[in-house]
Amino acid sequence: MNLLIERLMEIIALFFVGYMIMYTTFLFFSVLFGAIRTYEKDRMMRLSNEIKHDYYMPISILMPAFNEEVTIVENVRRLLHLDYNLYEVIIIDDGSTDETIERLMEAFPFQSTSSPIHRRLPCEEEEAIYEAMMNNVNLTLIRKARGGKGDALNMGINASQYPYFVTLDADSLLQSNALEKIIQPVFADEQVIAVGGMVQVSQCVELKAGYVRKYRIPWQPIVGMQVMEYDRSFLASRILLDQFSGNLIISGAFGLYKKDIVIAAGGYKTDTIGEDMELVMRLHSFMLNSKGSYKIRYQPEAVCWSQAPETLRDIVKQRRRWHIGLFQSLIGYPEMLLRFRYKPVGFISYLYYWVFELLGPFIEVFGIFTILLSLQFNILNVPFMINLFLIYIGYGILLSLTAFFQRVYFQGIKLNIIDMIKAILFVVLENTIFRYFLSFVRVTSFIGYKKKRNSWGSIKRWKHNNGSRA
Amino acid sequence: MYMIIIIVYFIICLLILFYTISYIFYQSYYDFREAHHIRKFTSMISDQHRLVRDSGYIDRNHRNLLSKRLKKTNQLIAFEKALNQLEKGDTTTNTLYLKQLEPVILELVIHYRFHDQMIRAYLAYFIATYAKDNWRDPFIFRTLFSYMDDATIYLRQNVLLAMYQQPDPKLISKAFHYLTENNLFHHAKLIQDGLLKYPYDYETLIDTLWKESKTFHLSIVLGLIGFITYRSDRYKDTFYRMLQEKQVDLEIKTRLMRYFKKHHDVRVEPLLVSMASDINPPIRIVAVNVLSEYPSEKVIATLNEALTDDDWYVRRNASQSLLAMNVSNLDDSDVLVSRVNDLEEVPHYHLSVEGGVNR
Repeated sequence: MNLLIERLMEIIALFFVGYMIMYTTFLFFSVLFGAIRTYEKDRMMRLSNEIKHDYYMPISILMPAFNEEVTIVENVRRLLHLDYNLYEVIIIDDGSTDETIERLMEAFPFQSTSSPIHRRLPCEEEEAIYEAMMNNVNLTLIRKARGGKGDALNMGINASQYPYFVTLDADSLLQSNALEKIIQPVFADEQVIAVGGMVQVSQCVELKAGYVRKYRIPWQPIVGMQVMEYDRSFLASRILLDQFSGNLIISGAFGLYKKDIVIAAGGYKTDTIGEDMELVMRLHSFMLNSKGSYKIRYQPEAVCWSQAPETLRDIVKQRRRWHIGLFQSLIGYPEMLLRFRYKPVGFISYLYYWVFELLGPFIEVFGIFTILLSLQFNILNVPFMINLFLIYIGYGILLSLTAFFQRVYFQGIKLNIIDMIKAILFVVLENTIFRYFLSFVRVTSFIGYKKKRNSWGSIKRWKHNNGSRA
Repeated sequence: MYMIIIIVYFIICLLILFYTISYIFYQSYYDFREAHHIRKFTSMISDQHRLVRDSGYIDRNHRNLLSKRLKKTNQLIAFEKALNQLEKGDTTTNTLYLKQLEPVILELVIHYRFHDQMIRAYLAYFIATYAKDNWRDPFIFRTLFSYMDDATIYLRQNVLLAMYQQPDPKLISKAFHYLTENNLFHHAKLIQDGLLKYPYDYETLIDTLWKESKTFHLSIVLGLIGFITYRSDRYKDTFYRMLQEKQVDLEIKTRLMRYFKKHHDVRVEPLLVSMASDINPPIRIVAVNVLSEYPSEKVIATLNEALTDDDWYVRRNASQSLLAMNVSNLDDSDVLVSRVNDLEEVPHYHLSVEGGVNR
């Protein structure tokens, strides 16, 4: 019996080690490609290898909002001063129960209108529509019955007048040149149907007129660790997957889409939590099924600063939502692997998200649990496993630090010694504790998930006040 | 085995990290050096400006020095930044100064042929920025043209921008042929707005390009029509004839129709009226939109009819066109009391909000 358990434990340990090797291989290539691409992009910008253009495509910015009274006025005000010639801003209030609408009405000269909205995508009825013109930007505020974020975005698409739209979270701040940057892939390649921007943690910056005036990593460990996590994700894995147009996620916080294609694909789903990922998966599936040539690109130069949760409670809520969203999106499109298994987006991206993103936390938690058990019964080669685990953690630290420093030079951020110390500290904490804590959170995310299928995430917001919290 | 793989990864990643950190320090040093070079070039150019103002000529040694130094990309970047700073000052002197740098540019285009695409794109950008009225030697642009072989979109765009700053339309046409023959996509909007930067005789440019238009890729033709729409009213006959043809691409057709919104031609009115009931919705949408510039009883009747169209955008554009015409008897027309209830929304909204009778 003991021999059987020993064999079983060995197989589990072997599986776990194999998984770690696969994952580290992926991370290795992510960081390698990230390094190559960021260096190349940095050089391109220094050598004016960009499509700079005076008259860009007109863009509609869609900002769905639910109970965003704290940040919305300031964020909309900032949107009126972007370095872009022609854009409109559409705020869709999805039945807020706080004073989101009142704050907006006080701050901007909105006039009630009966503007007709062409319903090309199904969504809840509008209750009121207001319009204002400020700084040559057309502002539209739509108040509608609550239907979820996807529903609000569908309303925004219906109300938009331009051929491309950008989705933006109500707590997010756009860098002044963000629209100019995010549209560039569309000019460079006619097959581009969607572009993802880089999302960074807004608690680190002071923005003035849309430009980063000051960059400081906050002392709060939860925020600091998320900064490192975002860097690894946005400057490594997304860049790697972008090599073959294989990103399955464009963050809802900042992404650009070709409107006609999104409408043809059916718009946002309203009964899912991860509507942003679901849409990108559907766009892939739609284009592959219709045998159309297309590209979904990632543009790290287009930067959006978004608020990261500051409390454990909020981050747990957020990650649970994300994980359920991931699950819903992945199980909805099995054809990505079954039918399109020869396409890189199928056998690399889709499998990557299944194995490392969705099942990864389960494997990690199970693996750690099993190793601890084995150690307890003295079944495993203890020094070997400890060494392996330490190298794995050290490797994670190394990769995260690389991604962080890549961003530092890529965005031209000036760091002081304190920030560097903070970065190293948070990277270590993130790779030794936070990462496994989040794995545990994600493993437990399915408990009671059906009840909150399409609800909005409610995370405590802080007012940006030149970077400091009010 | 596992350990070996992880240790190998570990070492490579460590190297990447060191490289990244070194790169950050190198960039700080580079920025420092660049600021120094900019200061030196600014002072040098200011001296030459003084010489130009006094004698009309720059110092030959200065030209020789630039020929040597600008072959280094970082020096060229610093020189461009210095020029950019000084350009805001005395433009006449700066023009005289730049004109005398043409031999330097001739050397540079040859020298940079052997650099990688990004650096070539930078030289093309530099020439595109300062060539206007300063550098016209065809050799410069012919050499730039040779940069386009297997070029990235950025190099192509910068070379095209440089081409638009030289006076020979044939070279621009040649560049468009090159894009077409090699099936290289270049966005119509980039073509249109690039051509709008052409500072010389654009009527000749238009004629030269249009003569060849049938041999260009669709996106180039679309950009060209957009350019003609902004710059010339001499194409009414040509475009009118084209509009009557049946085998015209849909996108081209709608662009041609828009031309007649900016350049009024009574001959087109009946054509547009018939297009307002075309089976193709985009044609109907553009037709009712363009008809706003052709007020007549027949057109008003057509637009009224279009208010009941199946397509939402046809209805919207028809109502906008009626409002743009300031039709005085709109209250009595069918616009306010739409014949189909669910179609009322559009005209009502435009009347009350977009500058109609209520304002």
